[in-house]
Amino acid sequence: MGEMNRSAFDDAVLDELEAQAIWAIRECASFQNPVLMYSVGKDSTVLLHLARKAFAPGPVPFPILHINTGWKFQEMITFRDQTVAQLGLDLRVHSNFEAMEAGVSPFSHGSDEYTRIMKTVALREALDAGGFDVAIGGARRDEERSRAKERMFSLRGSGHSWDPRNQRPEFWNTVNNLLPEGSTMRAFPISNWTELDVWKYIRREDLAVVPLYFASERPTIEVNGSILMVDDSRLTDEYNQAPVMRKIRFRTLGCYPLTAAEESNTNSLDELIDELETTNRSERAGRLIDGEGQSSMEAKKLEGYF
Amino acid sequence: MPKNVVFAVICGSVDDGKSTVLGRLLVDSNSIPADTLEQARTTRRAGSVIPVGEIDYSLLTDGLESEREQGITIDVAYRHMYLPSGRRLIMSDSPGHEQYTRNMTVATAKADIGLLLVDAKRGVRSQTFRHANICGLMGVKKLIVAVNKMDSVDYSQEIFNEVVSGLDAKIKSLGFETIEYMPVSGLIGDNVSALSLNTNWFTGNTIMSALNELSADQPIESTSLRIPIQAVIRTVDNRGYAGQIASGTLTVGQSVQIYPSGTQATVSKITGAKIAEVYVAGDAVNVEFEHEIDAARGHMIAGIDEANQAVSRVFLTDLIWLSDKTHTKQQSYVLKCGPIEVTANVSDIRYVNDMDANEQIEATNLNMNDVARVEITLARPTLLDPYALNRDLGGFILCDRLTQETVAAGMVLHSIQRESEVLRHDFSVNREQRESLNGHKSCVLWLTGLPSSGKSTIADEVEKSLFSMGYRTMIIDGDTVRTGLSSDLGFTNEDRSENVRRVAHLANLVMQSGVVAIVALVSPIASDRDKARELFRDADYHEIFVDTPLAVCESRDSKGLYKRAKQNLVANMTGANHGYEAPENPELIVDGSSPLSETTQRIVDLVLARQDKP
Repeated sequence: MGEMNRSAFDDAVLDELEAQAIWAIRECASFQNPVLMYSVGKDSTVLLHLARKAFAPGPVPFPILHINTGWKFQEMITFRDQTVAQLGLDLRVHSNFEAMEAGVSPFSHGSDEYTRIMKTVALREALDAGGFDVAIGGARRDEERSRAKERMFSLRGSGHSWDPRNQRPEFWNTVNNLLPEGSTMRAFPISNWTELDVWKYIRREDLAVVPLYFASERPTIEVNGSILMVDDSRLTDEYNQAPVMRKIRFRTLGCYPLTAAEESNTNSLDELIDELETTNRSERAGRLIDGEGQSSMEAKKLEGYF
Repeated sequence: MPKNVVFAVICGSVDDGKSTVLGRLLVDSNSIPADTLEQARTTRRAGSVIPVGEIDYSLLTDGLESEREQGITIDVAYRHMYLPSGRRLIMSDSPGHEQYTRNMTVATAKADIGLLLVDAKRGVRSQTFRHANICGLMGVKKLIVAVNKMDSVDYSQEIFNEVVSGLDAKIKSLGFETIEYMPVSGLIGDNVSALSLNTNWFTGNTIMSALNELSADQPIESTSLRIPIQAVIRTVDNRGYAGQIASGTLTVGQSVQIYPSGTQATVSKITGAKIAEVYVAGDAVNVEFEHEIDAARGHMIAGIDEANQAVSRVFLTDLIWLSDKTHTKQQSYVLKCGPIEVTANVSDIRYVNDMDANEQIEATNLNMNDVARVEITLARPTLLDPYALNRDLGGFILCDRLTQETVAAGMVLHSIQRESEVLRHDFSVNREQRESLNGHKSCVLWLTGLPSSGKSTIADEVEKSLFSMGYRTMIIDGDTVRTGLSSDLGFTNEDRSENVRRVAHLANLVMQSGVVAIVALVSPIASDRDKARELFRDADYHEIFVDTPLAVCESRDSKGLYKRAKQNLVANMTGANHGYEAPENPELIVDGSSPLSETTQRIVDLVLARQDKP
């Protein structure tokens, strides 16, 4: 299929996706206590921008929540704090401090168990503590096969569990925002966006993103064929390797010991979009947590993961 | 509304090969990442006969663990597809099992295009027909029927034609604008995205080219302004009302009306996702007004006087029951339509549609997967538009008050305007008992046709014939009605509509009394007749088109109407060029210039056949 054609309707497609996302975010305001999940990555950046548009000229009428595992890239934390200060947002940060104290790390517990404790459990704790009844997230259906199955408004039972075999039906622009006792809602306003849509929207709206998405000389080591960036000494200590400078960038951003970089010269949004349109490799290939078992995202979601 | 993101539903009975066809479409449109494709070459599920190294297309679409274990689809998956035109298609992959019909309706709700699969070898099955029905009911206008697994029947044109003619007869009346058929093999790839030499007798579209063409068709949009208010946005000095324009256009300075209160207001400022002079359907906007108004989430911004007819407490709707909890008479629900929320009762079940038997049956309860025509009564006047005009304004859900679950999806046909609220009393003797006393079932025979076409003469003969067989009958004749029940009415279009409405309700009363009602009425306007028809179940109502040649009617001219029309003495007279809209799908067509005894017998046969139906 011609690449020329693909972009023929780009702007119109983005307009429709944008309007749909704004519609969904405004619906979230009909819940008692919404919160917007902010992971600092490109999808969160778009989601936050859409939330600001949805309530302009007023402020975003709910807080934003960051789950910090303690293993995020330092540049992400810097970017987060800059963004919050600049936009005047109500940021809540939550970590599983108990587990942190106990020394839970990607190395000590394996990526699966680590993710469960530091991300899934921490998220559940934060949502319960804040009494949030709808958590707005930036997940997209094209990311992963179990996400392709999820509703835009996805009911979570007690303990934030997802029952994929018995999802609440969803029709037209009508959201059933009634929640049974103990249940909460997850909302995914950019469900129907692709990774390319996200980048093209970032370019169109001229949004700032974490610099890690662009190539630069960075200290790295190689572990099991994956290039990992040395963000602090915890990584080099663990693998007992000396860092090597490589020109790398990241396609997705997670916890740095679990997020593989790719060698790249991509320095601008135009180049990045061009690269995505020609390479055609799936987005989360660099996420080391997704690979364990054929359905590991689904297994995580059943327990309350985004 | 602009449509550059198009929704399609892929449906059909279980094992008709949906996943494989969809997988191939995704691969052929270059919508699958290379590494995911590689996985589909190397991974195999139990029982797979596809050699490792080749793509198992079905693996690309099933997402849940239990789905992959069982090799079935349980819930909808949404897949992106880049169309050759550059438009975006979102394919909702729907489950084929009857127990997951609920999920199939979810997949269909937003769909502009339906892609229905039929197994060439097994032919049309009850789920095939059921899915076609749901597509039609939920407003899919364009249907593509892929007769799949043609490789298993040696690409036989004969078998293809057999499947097509069998299915077409059953689905052509379901309301689709276009139905396209094509012979396909998802496994081999025939006619999925390239025309196949294996079916050199076929020269139509491939699935891909059909999807590409159909997606370019823009739906006809309503021009009335509608913005359902989702949220109120407060700033230091003003209040704005945020929502997505569902139809119509909006500019600063425009006068609008807020429903249901009826307050009028002038737009002073619009904040949109982007800056524009005129905001159109699909745009997300925040609207401010020159003066403070009293409006909240669930209210509607509309054009002045453009929504009066849509505000009512009572609506005629179609309903799909989704819950395993049965609906019984006393239940009350929360109705939601976009941000609108109101208490609702199912005040009357007109009938349940038995799709397998293609019959409408009487019912007092609604069970899971039932498709019914019902009357909904709301706690307060509410603005709901016909679903056919706009799905987002006429599609609604019913939620259970206790479990909070969505128990039904509904589609508004139209509002029912009642002068005053009359409580319906449940009387002890019902129609069935009256019929059993009479010894036969009642029904309505509605004779429509030009003046002097012979309606009254035929009605008279039919009644004589039925009477002699012991049937209780009553003729409702247009001329007679005009001297009494409708003596206050003239012959404008409005008055004619009102006359038809009165006659329809009178016929219904007569029928409910257990008597065969024979209506002889010109009833020239199709929409008036359609409204009359809606009062009845299909089995009870017979529209009979008395299709007598105009020349014959003119020569008879029993009342001298044609002659006077020619001299311009009668205004608004019905005639060939005077607005008689011939019925499109009458139950029977008779010719008033044919021998009367034959015509009479054909109509009497309808009443006799009625006796064997529920």
